[in-house]
Amino acid sequence: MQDPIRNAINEAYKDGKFSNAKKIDTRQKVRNQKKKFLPFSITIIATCFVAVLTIFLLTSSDENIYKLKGTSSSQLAPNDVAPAYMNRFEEFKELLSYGGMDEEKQLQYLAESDWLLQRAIESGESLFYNSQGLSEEEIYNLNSLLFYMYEYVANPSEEIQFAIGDIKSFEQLRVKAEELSNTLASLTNNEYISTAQEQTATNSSFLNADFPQQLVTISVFLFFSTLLYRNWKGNRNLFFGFIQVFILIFLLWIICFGNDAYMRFGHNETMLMQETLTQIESDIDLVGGENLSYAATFGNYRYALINLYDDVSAFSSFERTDEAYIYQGAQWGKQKFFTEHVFVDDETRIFVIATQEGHTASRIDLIGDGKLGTFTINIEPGKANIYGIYIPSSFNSFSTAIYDTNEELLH
Amino acid sequence: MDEQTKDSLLTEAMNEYGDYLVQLCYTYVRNWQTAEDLAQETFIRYYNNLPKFRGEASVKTYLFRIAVNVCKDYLSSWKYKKVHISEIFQKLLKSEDTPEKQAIKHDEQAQLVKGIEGLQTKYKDVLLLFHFGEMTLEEVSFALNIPVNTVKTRLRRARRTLGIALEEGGEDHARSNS
Repeated sequence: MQDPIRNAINEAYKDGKFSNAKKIDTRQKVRNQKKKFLPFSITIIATCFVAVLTIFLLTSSDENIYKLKGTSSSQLAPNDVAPAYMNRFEEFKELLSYGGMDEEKQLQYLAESDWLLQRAIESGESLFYNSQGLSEEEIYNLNSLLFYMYEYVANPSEEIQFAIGDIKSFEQLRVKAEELSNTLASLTNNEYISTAQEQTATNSSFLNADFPQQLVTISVFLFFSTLLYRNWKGNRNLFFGFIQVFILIFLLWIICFGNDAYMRFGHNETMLMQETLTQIESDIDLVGGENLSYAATFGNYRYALINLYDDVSAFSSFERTDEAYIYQGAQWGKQKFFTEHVFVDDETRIFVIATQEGHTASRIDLIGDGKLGTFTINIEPGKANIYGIYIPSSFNSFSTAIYDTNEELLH
Repeated sequence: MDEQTKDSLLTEAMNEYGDYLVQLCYTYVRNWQTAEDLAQETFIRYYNNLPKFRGEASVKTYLFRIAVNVCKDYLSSWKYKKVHISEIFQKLLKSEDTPEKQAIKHDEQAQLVKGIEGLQTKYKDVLLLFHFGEMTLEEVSFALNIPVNTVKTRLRRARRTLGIALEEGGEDHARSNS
C-alpha cells in the first residue's frame, strides 16, 4: 500500500516541475557566480580600506601638528643631560651633608622639578637636553633615582646609610644609580612611574573606556558582525547588507577613533604645547613659531610655559587623573611671571610661579600675614623656569614679593 | 574535483531530484515560482559544496538537507516577509474563492496537503522527509541534524496534528455541505 502522504503530495503537486529553462539558468548561474562574488567582496574590502585610509588621513597625529605649529628657539638648543643631572645630584648631596635637612635648601630643592631631565633621559633627545648612549636599565635607574631623591627630600625620614660622597661624576652615577635608587625607594612611600608608563590613556576611546562600556561596545560590534555574516551568507538582501557594512565601519571608527581619541594629554613636551595651543587658539591669534620655554611637574600637576610671539607667553596647567594629565586651563599675556597655587592635600599646597626668559628676578618671598612667617626661594635671572614652592595649608594669607639681583622689589 | 565532473553531477542531480525539490520547497513557501527559485538555490549550494561532499549520506539526503535549510533561510528573510505581507493584502482584497479552488477544497487529498502545509516547520520537516522524501529515520536525522529519537517524536506529533487538522477540515467540509 502506497504512502498516503506521498500520494497526496504527488497528486497535489504533480504540476510542480523543475523546468528545463531553470536547469539551464542554474548552470549559467554556477558558472557566473565566481565572477559575481569577487567584485562584491572586493567592493567591501575596498570600502573598508578607503574608510580606514580616510580616517588616517583626517586624523593628524600630535607630532605632525606640533611640527607644523611649533619650532624650538635657539636658546633651547639641546644640552648634555649629564651636567644638569650632576648639578641636581650635588644639590641633593649638599642637603644630606648637614646634620638635619636645612629647611631653606629643602624648599629650594623641591621648588625645581626634575621632569624635563627625566623626559630627556627617557626620550634620548628632548627640546632641552640630550642623553645619548644610555641603556634601558640606566635610563630607568637614573630616572628613578631623580624621583626618589625628590621624594626623600620632600619627606626626609632618617639618615641614608651609604657613601654618597664618593660619587663625583655622571659616569660613576650611572653605575651606582640602581643601588642608590633602591636604598632611597625603601625610605619613601611613593613608587616611581616613568613618563612612558604614566601614559595609560591611549589614542583609542575604546581602550580608555571602563569595562562595562567595552563589554557593550564589543557586544554591539559582534551583533552587527553576526548580522552581516548571516546576511552575506544567506544572500538575503544587498541593501541591508550595505547598511550593516556601514554600521560596522561606523562602529570601528567609534572604537578606534571616537571623540575621546581626540582628547589630548600632557604626556610629553610636544603634547603639552600642542594641547595648550589648541585650547587657546580660539581666544588668541597664533602666528606660528611658538616654542616651549619650560615644563615642570609637581605632584599631580604639570605645567607648560610657552613663548607665543614677541613678548606674549602662555602658562598652562594639567592635572593628573586616573589615566593621564588633562588640560585644566591657561593664562597668557606679556608679563614675565605667572603664578598659580594648588592644593596637594589637607596639609600642603604648592605655590607655582613661572618665570619667562629675560626676566630680571633673583628671589621670591612669600610673606605670610601676622606670624605666619616667610618662604623664600632663589631663582635664576634671565632663564625660563617653573618653580613650585611647597607651603603648609595653614599658610593661607600671604603676599608675594619678587626681587631683582640688586634686591629691588620688582613685583 | 574538476569543473566537468561537477557540471555532470549537477545535471544528474537536477534531472533526478529537481521536481522533488520544487515540490518540497513548495510545501514551505506555497508559491511555485519561489519554490523553483529555492530549488535552484539548493542546486547552486550543492554545486558549491561538491568538493566537501564525502558521501556520508546519499545525494538525495544531502540535497534535501540543503533544501530544508534554504527554505528556512528564505522564510526568515526580509524578502519573504515583504512578499508575505503583500499576499495578505491581496487575500484581503480577494475574499471569495474561485470555483476551481472550491473544487480543490473538497478533495480529500488536497485537504491532507493543506494540513501538511499548515504544520509547524519542525513537524513538516520530518514528515516530508520521511514520507515524501522516502528517507529512513536515520537519514532524516542526518538531514535535519537532530537525534533519531527526536525525529520519531516529531513524526508522531506531526501525524497526530495532521489527524486533527484533517478532522477539522472534514468538519468544515461537512458544514459547507449541510
